[in-house]
Amino acid sequence: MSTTSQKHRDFVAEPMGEKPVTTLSGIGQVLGKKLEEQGFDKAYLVLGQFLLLRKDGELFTEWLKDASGANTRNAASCCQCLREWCDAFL
Amino acid sequence: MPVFVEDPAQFSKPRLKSELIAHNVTLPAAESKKHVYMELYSKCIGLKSAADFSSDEEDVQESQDCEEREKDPEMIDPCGLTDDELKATLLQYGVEAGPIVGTTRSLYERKLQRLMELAGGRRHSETENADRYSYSEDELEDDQDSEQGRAETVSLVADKQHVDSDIQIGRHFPNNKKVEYHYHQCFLPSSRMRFRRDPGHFEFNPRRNAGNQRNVAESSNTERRNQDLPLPVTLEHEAVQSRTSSILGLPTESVQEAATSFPDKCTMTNRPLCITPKTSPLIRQIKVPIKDVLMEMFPETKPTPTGIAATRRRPIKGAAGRPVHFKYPDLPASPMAQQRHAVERHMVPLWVQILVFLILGCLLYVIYASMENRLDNPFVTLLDNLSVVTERETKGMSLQA
Repeated sequence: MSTTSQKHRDFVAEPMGEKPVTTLSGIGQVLGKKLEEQGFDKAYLVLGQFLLLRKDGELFTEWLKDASGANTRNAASCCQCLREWCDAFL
Repeated sequence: MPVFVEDPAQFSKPRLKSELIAHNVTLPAAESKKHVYMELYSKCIGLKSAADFSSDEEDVQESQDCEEREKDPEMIDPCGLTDDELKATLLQYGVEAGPIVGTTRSLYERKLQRLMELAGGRRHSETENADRYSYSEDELEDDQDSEQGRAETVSLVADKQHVDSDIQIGRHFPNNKKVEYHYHQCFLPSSRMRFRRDPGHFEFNPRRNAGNQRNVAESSNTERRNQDLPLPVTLEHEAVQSRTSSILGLPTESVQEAATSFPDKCTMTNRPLCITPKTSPLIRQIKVPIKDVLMEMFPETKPTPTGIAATRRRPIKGAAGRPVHFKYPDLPASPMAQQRHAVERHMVPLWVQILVFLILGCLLYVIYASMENRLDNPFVTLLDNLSVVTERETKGMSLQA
């Protein structure tokens, strides 16, 4: 991915704190709602899952696709967003 | 995650209805309850599916996969493992799993399953012989000999499966309905459902396939045109042969053999059956999806007429099998070793430099010390005496004058 969205930059720019899951890049209203239904209402919960999978992008995108019905592009975007956040703040 | 189970109790009423229609079963009255449908389903379809299953090309492949799985004793069901076992098994396959908890377990299970299928496929392709493979297939068909005259209905379950795998590989092949049987299952991210499917549910219907040889040949021709590969003439020949033999009432086994060997041998290799070397079909099955990657890796290698990977795969095995620097002697070793080499190269001059420095230091000290001693040197007095002498001389000269 050569360019990043504004949402991506906003998320990666600062600690996530208590941000909702929809602030994640690639997670819009619809996917966010599906994730919330499964208990992933905060961005840090998704981060937790990402970390549980050892920051493995492949597995994480697979999970995100299963859990929220995201397409490959959205899942990859979210994965990259979290990975960069981890690089910056973890 | 979609989980299809062959349990009619879990089907919805419309689903049961469509299943029944698909199996040419007359529906009960419209107002009947679900259990009526269920009974009918288990009576008609449950019995049938124990013996056979209406087939299309995909089912052929599925049955192969199932067979393969049965033959492989190391194929274990990852769903049956405990968390620790799952983790250990993943480690055996070189995957370091994270904590296996509720939200991650299914992912790791699927990953393990994929890895096992890949590993299994590789092992098969290395060890197995094409003849043995196709004979085992024939055995399967013999059991289903009596089912040849069945109607050519495609069951909903099969359709669902189709859709499921379409989703998985649809990105690569827009026309995958036809292409699908080219692929070994290990390249489709498998759902658990496939794993659980009863092999008895698959039926291979040779006569139907024999009748459809033209279709198959056509579809593979289009495929071939897409790949810009030469069109084998023997495809048609093969189809004609299997047809005529069935017309002439030759032993069914030979007909079946022709029919079965057709879809996997010809379509996998994209080359005529009659010159097909005796390599395992699995090699070819594995070969096809890898092709692009290999072309990327070795762009200079020309595609062999067989289209088989044997020559292309070797470098991969070689590189994986032994340490890299045997293969590529020019490659630098680890950065640490490189550093050490550099240090060693600098070591002697450094030592010499220090020695030179010390010698210089000593020399300077000696000079300094000698300069200090010169203060109370005999030379100094000598110099003083000299001046005294000259003074006296001048005095004497003046006195004389």
